[in-house]
Amino acid sequence: MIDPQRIAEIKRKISREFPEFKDIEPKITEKKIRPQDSIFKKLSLGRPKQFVTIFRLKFKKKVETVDHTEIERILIVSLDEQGEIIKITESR
Amino acid sequence: MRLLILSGKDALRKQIGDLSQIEKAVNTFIKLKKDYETIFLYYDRASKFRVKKVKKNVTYIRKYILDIEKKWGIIDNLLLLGGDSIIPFFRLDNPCDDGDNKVLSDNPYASRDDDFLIPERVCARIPDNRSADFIIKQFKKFSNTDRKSFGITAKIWKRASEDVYRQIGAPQDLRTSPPVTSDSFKESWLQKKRFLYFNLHGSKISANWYGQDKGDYPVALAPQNICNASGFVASEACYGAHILNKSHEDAISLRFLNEKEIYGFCGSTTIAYGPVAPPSSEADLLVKYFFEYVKQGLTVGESLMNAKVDFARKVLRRQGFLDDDDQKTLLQFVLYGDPTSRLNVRNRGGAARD
Repeated sequence: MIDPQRIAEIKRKISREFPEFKDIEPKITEKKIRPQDSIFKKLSLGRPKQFVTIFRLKFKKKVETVDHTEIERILIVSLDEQGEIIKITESR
Repeated sequence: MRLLILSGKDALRKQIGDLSQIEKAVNTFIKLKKDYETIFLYYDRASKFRVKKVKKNVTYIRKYILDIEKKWGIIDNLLLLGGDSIIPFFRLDNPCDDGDNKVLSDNPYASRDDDFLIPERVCARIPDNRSADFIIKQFKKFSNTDRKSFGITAKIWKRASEDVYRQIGAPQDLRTSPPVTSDSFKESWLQKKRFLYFNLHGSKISANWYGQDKGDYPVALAPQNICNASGFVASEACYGAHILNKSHEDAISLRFLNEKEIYGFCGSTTIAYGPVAPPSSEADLLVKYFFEYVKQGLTVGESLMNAKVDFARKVLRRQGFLDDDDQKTLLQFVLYGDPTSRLNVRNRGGAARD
């Protein structure tokens, strides 16, 4: 599992850069991604040999628009095995 | 190039009533499509191919298409005529842990094998909007010769959206919401354009699309803002292409398609994802590639198919795998309208139809 100190760092980063998600506790998941053979084959790419492990911190929050429509906002921070950020993604 | 136009006669008749005018419009369309070998079939009726007719079921309809292909030859382009109640969307397992139980997708209709992420043929849909006039209109669209684009993004995604919009216009021309709201939105912004780009919030239950600045979510675009719009629409809004139990009154996608000079709509059926800043990923990357191909002169159908293939390649090169939201992006983006529309961007004459 990922280092708790690293998680704390990321939570601070998200609070700083995305204040709307401040104080939201992320759901942390670990996912082992198996080699996606069929996709690589279909795209005529050499297939990867290894399983890849990624971690995801998912921040969810319900917000209300000006016309009182409720929207679920989702922010996902994807990390590699070393805890480095691969990408930060938001729901549209 | 072969084009199969497919519908369900019983379901279409139930939605629309008399089909004679629609069939006439389709036959005229086929005659005009001289570059394509085109046929119009009902999956629930016998045809010259002697393929067994099927019931309204996604798996059966998909098999029907594959069986037709065995008899007729490679189907390069598939046009589904009708909405979910006529040719249902596939309900695929959602790779993401979000508010969608299933992902509504047309990808399986575009695939020959069981890997639905990567399309192998062009696939588009003409929704029915419960109106024969609406359907007929989609076969009789005339585009203008304008060359300009319009784009609007939620303020928080300005940098990310500029990276997409530069494919079709000057980044400094991209509008943001706020300050733009549906009250200040000018109808003229959508008129005499070639491309219309939207990177806004969307909702399953609301007719509107929303901007964002910090905790403010103003209405950026409402259906009533759309009047005499023209061009091709690409939207990254969540549920931008969600049309179940909707009409042009409460779905912006259908509202756009109801315009005589809007000749296509590309959007997401479910919750979509994108980056907060460049580099482009998820929906931003897919739409960016889509614009690139349309600009090169490919049809809009070919452009979306190629964009999905390039998207997958790019992500695999970048990170070695397609993660949950990458997979969802590939499944959820659909194309509405005539897939053989082509914007002759490179020609001085401007946008034109085949």
